Amino acid sequence: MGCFPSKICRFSTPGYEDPTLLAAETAFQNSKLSILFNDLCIAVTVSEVEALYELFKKISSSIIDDGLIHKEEFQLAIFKNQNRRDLFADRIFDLFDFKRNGVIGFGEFVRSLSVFHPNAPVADKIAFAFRLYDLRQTGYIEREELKEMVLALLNESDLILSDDIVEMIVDKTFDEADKKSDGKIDEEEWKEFVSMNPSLLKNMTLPYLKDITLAFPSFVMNSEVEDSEV
Amino acid sequence: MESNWLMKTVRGTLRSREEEEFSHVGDEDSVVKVKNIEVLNAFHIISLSEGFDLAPLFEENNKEKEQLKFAITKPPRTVISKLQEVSKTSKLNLKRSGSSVRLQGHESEEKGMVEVKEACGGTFVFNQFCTKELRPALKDIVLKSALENSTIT
Repeated sequence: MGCFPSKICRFSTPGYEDPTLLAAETAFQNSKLSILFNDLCIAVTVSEVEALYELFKKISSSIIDDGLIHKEEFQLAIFKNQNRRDLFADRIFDLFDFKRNGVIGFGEFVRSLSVFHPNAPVADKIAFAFRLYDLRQTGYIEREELKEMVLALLNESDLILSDDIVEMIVDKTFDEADKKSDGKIDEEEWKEFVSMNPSLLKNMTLPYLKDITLAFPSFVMNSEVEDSEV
Repeated sequence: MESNWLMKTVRGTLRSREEEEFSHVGDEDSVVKVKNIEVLNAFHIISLSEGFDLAPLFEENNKEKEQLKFAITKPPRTVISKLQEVSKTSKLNLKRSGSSVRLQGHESEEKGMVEVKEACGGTFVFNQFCTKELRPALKDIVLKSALENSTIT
């Protein structure tokens, strides 16, 4: 029979990691389908991780084609504008770049996006969101950090709120979340707060991730006669 | 002080509230009840940021989803009746659920959604996603209220 998809040359680019391993460690699936079509044996590999690789290639080659996502490429992908600086996009980028080398590799990309998968554990989403909002990574969300983020958002959007209202909202939020009244929100208080306000985790789930194989299919076709790669 | 009135609303929304399924309401009459408006907290505001929304990573370039956020001191029913006008003229289906209103065209193609959250002191924050057709209609409301209300700065 001999239907072996030969993928070795495709995946020799830097930063690539074995999709099977990544799938095992993350919320993504790696499943194979084999179809017999007339005399041809077509091995169609539909894997969420491989689909993510197609996406990763697209983003990581958009400005500097080196198999890594740079900050400008990330900004380009999110805002369609590589020069747009944004506090929140910076935080996301920093969290994705857990190796802390200023770029996002494929492994970091998949592992981080995995938290956004609809099937990922809610506890992971809650923890990720907490680290996101902990701007200075002190292990707490301080009142100043919260206000800074609110002001950053108002700055970026059409939303206009008076300073009085901003102060009131930040105060109210802190009263509700800071149960220990120590001027900062720790992870425990955050978990409690999120359970009372579940809509806060809305951004932590990307439904698209479930259908990603439809958007970025990766097909490897082999026939019994010859080994060809698409 | 308005804190009493605000506390009532806070207590009412402390029940953790999952997003309801939009139920088909059929013919919507002029009386629109908006119940269970979620009280805004700072983290809700922050989550509106484009920088936190990774959806564009997966979307095609040509699909432009416009976002319009505005705050006015008019009650939600003003916006909703405006939307009802729009839905009648453009033959769209208007569905509402809790604090959200959705406008749908044929084949369940979503034309727009308006979500309303209460900030405080009678200010309501509207978060809305819409196609280019809806934006002009809603910009009307924003402009009108901006002229009438000097409290928004």
